[in-house]
Amino acid sequence: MTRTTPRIMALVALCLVPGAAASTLFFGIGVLANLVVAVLTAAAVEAAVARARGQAPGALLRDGSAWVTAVLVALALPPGVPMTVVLTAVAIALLVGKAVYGGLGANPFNPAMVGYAAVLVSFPAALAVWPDQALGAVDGSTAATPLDVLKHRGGATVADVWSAANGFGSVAGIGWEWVNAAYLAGGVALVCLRVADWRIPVSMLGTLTLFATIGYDAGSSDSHGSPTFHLFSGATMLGAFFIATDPVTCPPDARGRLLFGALIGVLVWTLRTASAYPDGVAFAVLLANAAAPLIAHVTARARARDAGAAS
Amino acid sequence: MRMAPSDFPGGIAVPEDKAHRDVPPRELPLPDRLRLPLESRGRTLALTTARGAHVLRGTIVATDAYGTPLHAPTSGRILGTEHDGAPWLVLECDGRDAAAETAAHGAARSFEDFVAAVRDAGIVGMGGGGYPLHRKLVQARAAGVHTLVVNAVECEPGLTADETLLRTRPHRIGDAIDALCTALGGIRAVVAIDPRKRAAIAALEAARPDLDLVAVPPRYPAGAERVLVTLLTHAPLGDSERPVARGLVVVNAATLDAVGEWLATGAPVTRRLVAVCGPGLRAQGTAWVRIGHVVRDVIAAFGVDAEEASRLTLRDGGVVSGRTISHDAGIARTTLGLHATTAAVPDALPCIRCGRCAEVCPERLAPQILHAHATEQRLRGLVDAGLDACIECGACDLVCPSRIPLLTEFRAGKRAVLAQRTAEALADTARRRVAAHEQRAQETAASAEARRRARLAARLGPPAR
Repeated sequence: MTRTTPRIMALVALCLVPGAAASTLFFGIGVLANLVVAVLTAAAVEAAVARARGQAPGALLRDGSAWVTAVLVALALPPGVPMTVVLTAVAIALLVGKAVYGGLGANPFNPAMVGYAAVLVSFPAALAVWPDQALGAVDGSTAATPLDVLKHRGGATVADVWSAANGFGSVAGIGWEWVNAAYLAGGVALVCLRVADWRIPVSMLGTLTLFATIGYDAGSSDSHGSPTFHLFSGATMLGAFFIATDPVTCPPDARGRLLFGALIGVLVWTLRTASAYPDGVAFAVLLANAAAPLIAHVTARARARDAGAAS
Repeated sequence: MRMAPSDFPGGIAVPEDKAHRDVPPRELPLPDRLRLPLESRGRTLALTTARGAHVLRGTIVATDAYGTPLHAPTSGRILGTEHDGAPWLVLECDGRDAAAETAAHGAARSFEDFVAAVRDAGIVGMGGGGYPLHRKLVQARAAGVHTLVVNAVECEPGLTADETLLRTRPHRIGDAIDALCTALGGIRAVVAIDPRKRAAIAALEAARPDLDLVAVPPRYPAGAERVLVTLLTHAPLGDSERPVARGLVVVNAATLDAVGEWLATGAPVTRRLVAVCGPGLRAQGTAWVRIGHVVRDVIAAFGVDAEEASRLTLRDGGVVSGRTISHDAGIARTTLGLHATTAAVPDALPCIRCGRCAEVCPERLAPQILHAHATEQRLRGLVDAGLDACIECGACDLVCPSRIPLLTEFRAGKRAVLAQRTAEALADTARRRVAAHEQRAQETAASAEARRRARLAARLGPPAR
């Protein structure tokens, strides 16, 4: 009962630690550099917004949401990306993603994803490369992500890709599978702590698995990666547990959240297989955010009908 | 003791905070003056006495719109009325506590006589609602209820008045139950109680083993009337339905104790047991106080000096669903208890739409949607989102991580909606009156015109052709 909003934000940050640690382990110190720049930018931006509103500089930082947004942006961006990109992403996230709508609770789109998507379309080259995880790769070299490699493989079968490109591990990319597993562990903890609603990750991952299963025909030249590959690649787990579950931007009721999660799952798979981008989590979340009010309207009416029938 | 046949949606398990439940109730000495509340259920009572009048204990000093009297709780002199946001009648106590003559409760009488006697005893709902018991009985009889439900749940944290009455005077309550059941045509009775009130349950079972005790889930707000109906039947009440629609009449345990006291002594309501509790107090417990006993004096009797008292926020009725009460207010028949806190109210953060409030709402409302409407002052939105169904339990308030004062917002919203509805009704009446007046004016003019034409025709004869 003493769970306050700042404490909820703190718990989210805590549950991100395993994933952040795994990310640093596999992708290098650049992850921490991103985090530092992001957090400092967040402090400055929120203080400026507070001043513009005639409030004390720390007023908007009190609720803790700005820190979470900064951390999510930092973890979504590749380490080694220019600092200006990190700064821009966080600034856009907090200003365009949150401040212009009136602050915490009033934004329709997930702020971290707004910031990330903005720099993704503005600096596509900078965001396409992550530290090379291939065996024998030189320290400091960068390469395309496994999702990217799979998308641009030409006519090769999945098995060919797996043996040729050395960045592939047991189920997904080397490093990526561990990072996703770490986010999964943190995410399950977040759900058990009753901070994140279980319905969203379950429906999102379930739908993604379903579509990936349908689209995977044992690895021919046309197929799209196995379900486990999709689950443990890219931003799947980070998105499922820490981004899609943002309560401000998802429907408020149970049925709506199941629909919302399912929609993200479908969109992630569709964007990964059919769009120009290798990973579709950010856009999927933003599109689902846009649909959230309509989903809420439909499912809330459904609930009123049930309640009316009962009385 | 059996379990309730059904469960209710939402609700939240909260700490009882009733460690003081076994403390014997105190009898507070008569103060120098009493402040009798002249407002009941939003309406001002009509005075039946005047400044300077000498009254005895039991003299009627005011009545409500239903004819329910308010009695002087002790003998003394009426000093006059005061208004500090609420109307008060100030009585200077002479210390003799002389009583007016009371007619002893005679043998079995007709239902109408019984109801009139209950009315004249000034018994109103003492579980906080204040609805006159005689009216409730008339409605119950007319609806043909089959069960009297004794509400002994007292789910509000800190409050122990009802349970102390059950523990110390179970026979009074038992006799009252018998009398009401007989008056309503020999219906059966059920006592709904929280299973954690062990001493009270034991006392009641020992005194009246024939009574049907039902344990409710130990969750707040199991003691709310509408929630109780859901628990006992399997059919929750519709938005505008009352318990009589399910054949139930629900009466609070303290109200029954007042009935029992009246049955035994013939005396009207002049006092009640209030709980005095909360983290702001060192000593907690219950106290018998006269109606009108000033709050400041009540907590002073529990060892709170003036300086400490200035730092306390007092709530009438508990920390969850109570309302802030001024230190200068007088205890009403509906005052359940005084809850004292020193904590400052934290600033509210914006709603993060976590949905926790909807999880605990026993009426299946979405408080976050109501909150969105309330902040924008959208009265139509509030009504459409179900504000009328809100039972003001405050469970949503308890769980909100942003510490938004939801209960305060919804109470203000209800007041605003009521004000608008009243204004609309008045405007509607005025509009109809104007339309009727215009119609009559037109008819009068038309008939005058017709008469004029007829006279003219008669004088001139038929038109030349």
